[in-house]
Amino acid sequence: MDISIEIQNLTKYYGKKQALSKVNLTIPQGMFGLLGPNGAGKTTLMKVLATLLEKTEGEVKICGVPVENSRQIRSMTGYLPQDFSMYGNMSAYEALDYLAVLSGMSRQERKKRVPQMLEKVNLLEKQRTKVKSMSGGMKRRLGIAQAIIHDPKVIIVDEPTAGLDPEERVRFRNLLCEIAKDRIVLLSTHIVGDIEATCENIAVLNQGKICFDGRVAELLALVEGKVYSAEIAAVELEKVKEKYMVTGILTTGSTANVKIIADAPPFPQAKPVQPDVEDAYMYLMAHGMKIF
Amino acid sequence: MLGALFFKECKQVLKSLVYLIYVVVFVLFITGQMSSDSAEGLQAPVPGQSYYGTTVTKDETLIMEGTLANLVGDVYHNSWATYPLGFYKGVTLTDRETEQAEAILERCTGKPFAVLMEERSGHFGEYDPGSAEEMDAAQANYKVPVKEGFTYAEFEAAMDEICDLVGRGSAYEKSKYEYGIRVPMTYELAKEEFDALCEKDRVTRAYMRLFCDYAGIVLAILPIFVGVSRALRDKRAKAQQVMFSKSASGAQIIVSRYLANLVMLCIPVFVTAFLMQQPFCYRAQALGIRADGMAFLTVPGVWLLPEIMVVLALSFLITELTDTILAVFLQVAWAIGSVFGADVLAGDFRMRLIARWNTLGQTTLFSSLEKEFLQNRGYYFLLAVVCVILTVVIYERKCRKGGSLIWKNTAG
Amino acid sequence: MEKYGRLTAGFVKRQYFPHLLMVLLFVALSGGFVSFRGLEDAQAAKVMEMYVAFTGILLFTPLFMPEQDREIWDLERSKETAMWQLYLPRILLAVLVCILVVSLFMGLMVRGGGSFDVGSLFLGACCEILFLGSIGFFASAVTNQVVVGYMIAVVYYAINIGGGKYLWKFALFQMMKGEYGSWGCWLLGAAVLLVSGVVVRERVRRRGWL
Repeated sequence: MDISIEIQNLTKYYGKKQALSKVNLTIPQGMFGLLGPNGAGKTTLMKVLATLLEKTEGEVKICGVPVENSRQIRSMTGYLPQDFSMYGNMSAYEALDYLAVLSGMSRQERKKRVPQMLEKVNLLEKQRTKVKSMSGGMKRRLGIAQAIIHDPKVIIVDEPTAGLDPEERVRFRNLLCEIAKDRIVLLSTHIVGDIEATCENIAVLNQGKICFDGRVAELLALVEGKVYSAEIAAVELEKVKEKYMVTGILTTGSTANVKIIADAPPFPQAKPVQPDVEDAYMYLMAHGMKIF
Repeated sequence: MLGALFFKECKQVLKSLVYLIYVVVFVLFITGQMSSDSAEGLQAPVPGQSYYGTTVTKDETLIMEGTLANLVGDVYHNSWATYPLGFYKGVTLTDRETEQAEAILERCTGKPFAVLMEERSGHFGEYDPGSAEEMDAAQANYKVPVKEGFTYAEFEAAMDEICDLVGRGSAYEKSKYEYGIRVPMTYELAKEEFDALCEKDRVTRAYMRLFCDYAGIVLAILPIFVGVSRALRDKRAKAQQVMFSKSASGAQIIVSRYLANLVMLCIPVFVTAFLMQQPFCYRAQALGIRADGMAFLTVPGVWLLPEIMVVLALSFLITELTDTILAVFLQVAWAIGSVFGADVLAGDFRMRLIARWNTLGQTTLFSSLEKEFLQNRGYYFLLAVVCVILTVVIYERKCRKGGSLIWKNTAG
Repeated sequence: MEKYGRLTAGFVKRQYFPHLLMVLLFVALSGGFVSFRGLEDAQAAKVMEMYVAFTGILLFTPLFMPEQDREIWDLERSKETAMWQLYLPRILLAVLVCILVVSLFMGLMVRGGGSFDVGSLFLGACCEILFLGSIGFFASAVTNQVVVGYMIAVVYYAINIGGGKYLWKFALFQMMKGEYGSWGCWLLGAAVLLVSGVVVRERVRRRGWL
């Protein structure tokens, strides 16, 4: 089976408010990052893919199946919403087993898969813990377990690392990379570090429009030779921030080390440095251009 | 999938606080209300008793006499029960209106109101006010005869005038008094009734009707809370989105939830019914009658099941549609209206949610009303099915829309 | 003062408004259910105790609606305003609306030419309605479920129809029988339930049980 997501001219309105505007995107197998500021339309796009929202216009196919075919799509997708939760009085095992039933799994399959999944997300020892007593990280791990339990071809995860501590976040990213081997994992986030660490392909969404679609290396190429580092006097900081796009500041005493994006060296003492995804993302947001 | 979901739902219901309160309140209510109806009181009538209970008659003369007797009481107390919108509304008349009512009474009976009152006091004075049975007999035996030559058509016209005075929904409307009037039973009638109770109802069926009368009141209210609480649970737990994203259909989810809640609501009803009918089974055995041991299933099955079904289904429907607790207000009002709106405590089924039968026996009367009763229950059964189907449609729609059908849904 | 006004106005706008509308609807429909003409003591008491009493359940049970969500509760608790300071103006608002509704019904009954003791009935009705409402308030406070609050209050009302004798001085529908001495018990009961509702709720929640 062809494992891909094809999106053509996708438009979504909430009443008169346009949330997505003629989005065109092809998502191949592997980890795919969807980056964008809050309110850019990431969750809307993900919900359309998870058949939780009806599109206004356009065509969307998941592994060749149109999204209108919601029953079929739901059996081959797993969805982890931004604020995943379950009935507070259920234990981790009960909640996962309940959601597995909703995914149409038989008793035998569930008996085998539920402990497997709990082990995979490191919750087997906590299987009796009630959902209401779980930490944010535990809930998120339970969420990913329920999204993959029925072995879907596509996994849609919305802002999965928001609110997690650094250790949990790294563990979560690794888990996503592991499960992305033979399927699509579509990851939306506004945390650039998540994308940098996990995704080969990304798209950037801003105000309902795709403003970048390509490989991480291509995104970095946008700012190649445009990122500089310079040491300036701390008192100059406000002036510099007004004039240039500053993506990093480290103040030590009366001096400040700043990271600046500019087409030409901003000061004589500025040295060009290797750009990261955050620089490229900031550059893209500021210029709002569409690049393919 | 339906089976697995059903059992998981049952477990969830069992763990919920609302269900626990339901079981406790139901059991306390029903045992408290029925404690006075002991099996020992069940015995064949003996000739020479002073009172054999009452029965309903449609004899025109008796209807006139009984209705006028009620009228004398209402004019005297100046407290008129009316049900203009199905709910109880107490009406009091002004002095002028009371005089008019007294004049109507005089026209019907040929006696001034003062004389009628004297006769009334004399009649009730003959009975012991400390005994409930004596007072029942006093009420049942109290009649106010019409004057000679007074026709039923004239009586109808007079009652229309009373209706103009007290407003809509009183006991003096044609549809109400035509239903019949309670009169005391003779020994022969009482014997006939007792035989019917033994042969046709085989004792336990009659007892279960009384059980259903009490249980029906509380079951019009309590399942509302169980239904609303379940339907709001996904929203409260913030689990809606993940539920919607699963491949299970709306029909599978809603039907399994509905059936699980229905079964769990029915369990205490049938268990209590079973336990409460046992003394009547033994009593029947002692009297040499073969009781119907399955009455605890069959009678509440027809009487109460459609009621629980419709109350639960409607609470699911309204809550899924609005995502609010609106069903609590609407359905409690409906239930209370149905309790207070019954004209008589046995019979008067029509389209009422709560079917009242506050009497042990009256087998012959019940047989005559059985068709109306079954139509009523059938209607609510169908209504419940329609409500469940509509809930499924709404749930499916919510799945596709990603949230409420009424409130705004937006995502980033 | 302005702070409490703003906080309560926000609560009314976002959560309480539909409940106030229900009360309004309840008052508007009263003509179909009760008569206001020429009522005597027992009849006037019946209007208050069996009909108007429902406004207590409608007004007091949903006062914790926003804080059902633990995140909102956590957020509010993190601020310097104490939680009781947040709840108190809501309770006072509900009491005020309750008094207004009782006054309106009293006015209608007086206008209808009733002959009853206005002072005793007014006092008794206010206390009784407050008491019934506080039962819903307490149940919803300690269980953190508004539905349970309504359920317990409605069940309490229903128990009183036939089983008032088991409830000692806290039985409802006493004025219909000519007993006007229960108002003190009702008021005391309401005060205990309102205060303990807030205290128990906050303690239990702080321990993470609700």
